[in-house]
Amino acid sequence: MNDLHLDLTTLTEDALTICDWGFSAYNGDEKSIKKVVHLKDLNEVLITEKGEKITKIESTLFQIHPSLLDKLTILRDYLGLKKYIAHNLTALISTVLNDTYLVLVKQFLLTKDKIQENTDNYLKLREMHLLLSTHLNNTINTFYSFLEKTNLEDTSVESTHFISNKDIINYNQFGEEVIHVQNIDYKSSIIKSTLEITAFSTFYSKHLEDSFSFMDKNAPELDKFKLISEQELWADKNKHTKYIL
Amino acid sequence: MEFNKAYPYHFIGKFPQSNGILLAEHCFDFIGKSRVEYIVQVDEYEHKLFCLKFLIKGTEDNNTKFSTITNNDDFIGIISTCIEILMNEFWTKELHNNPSFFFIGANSKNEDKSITKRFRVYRQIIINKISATNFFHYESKKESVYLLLNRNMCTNSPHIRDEIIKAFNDFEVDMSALTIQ
Repeated sequence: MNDLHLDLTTLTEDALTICDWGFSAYNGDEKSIKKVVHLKDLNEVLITEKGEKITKIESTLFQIHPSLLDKLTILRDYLGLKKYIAHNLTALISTVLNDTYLVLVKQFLLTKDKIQENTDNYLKLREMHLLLSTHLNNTINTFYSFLEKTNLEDTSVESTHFISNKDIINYNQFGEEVIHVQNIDYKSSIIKSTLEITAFSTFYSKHLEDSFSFMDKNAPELDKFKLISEQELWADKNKHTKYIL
Repeated sequence: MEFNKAYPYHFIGKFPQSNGILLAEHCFDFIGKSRVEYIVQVDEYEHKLFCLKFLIKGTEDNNTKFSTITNNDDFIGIISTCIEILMNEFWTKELHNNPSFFFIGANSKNEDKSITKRFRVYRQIIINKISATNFFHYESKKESVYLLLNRNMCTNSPHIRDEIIKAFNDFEVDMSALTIQ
């Protein structure tokens, strides 16, 4: 969390501005963004149980347009595929979580000043935050569920292409390369990511609460009518229905 | 539930009133499912405050005109048309005047006036479709009334805001007349 904060404080204004509302525009100005992670290599080697190449994850993970949410959904789907990619998923999910986290924080930094000027921006931010939070939670829960069902001691990985750390590559009785999933690696990684997300969520929620109260500020008091607070409105809203105003 | 199945509507006319702060009635009609005809009446009060109501054509002189149930399974079509009229005629066209809106959920026969079924339904529709971006949302569950108070008006025209607040502080619902007294 602290490291991330340090990273964020050094982000350039350009880097912030390319994170447009609702992930609508990312123009690929990678030089100004830290932690851009290319997954081209991973794309080439993620192979399903049936031997099909997984090609959905393309180019860079950080190309958040059309949507990072799609990436998370895809990732969640991958989680059920094969335990032999568990180790690589660990790296992948950690990257996704970290980068999502980063995007959220950048969105927040970009937004916090504008919140005071534009309530519409605030509403979009909040909607995006809730969507992402849901996806993140689902992703984490699915991954935990996956871990619980997987016998880590017996897990081996047959794919070797994208494992750079040779220390974890062994050979089976046929002389084939086998990668043993090192449970401590991905367990600690997931735990770390989860803690980061939790910490971020707390940090972020505080500012959202401030924003909620901002929306209700200056509302006139009426004797016979009760103001429905912004928080109540949001709680009662059907999230699948779009606003017309 | 998406309300995007509006029927074509027709503007009947604007009828000036001299009933306190009620300035005019704007009337529209449309034909719904099974050729049932409806009237949408938008009451215009001082300071661009509008109240939308609808009724079945032919029940205008009936005391229960706003609580008549059609049982025509056309709820979405009717509400969609009302929303479209409100958006086209009283939001877009009146935007520069910072309009505010209120709705009354009339009670059905043998139903209490508090938290009526209509109020609960309209309330949910409003919350789903109208954000807090442009309005402060208020409700009186006792009177089954929902008020959308224009934020810009509150900010830019405090004297108008105060007059509207005064009107609503004196608010009493007469279901047959639907007036602010």
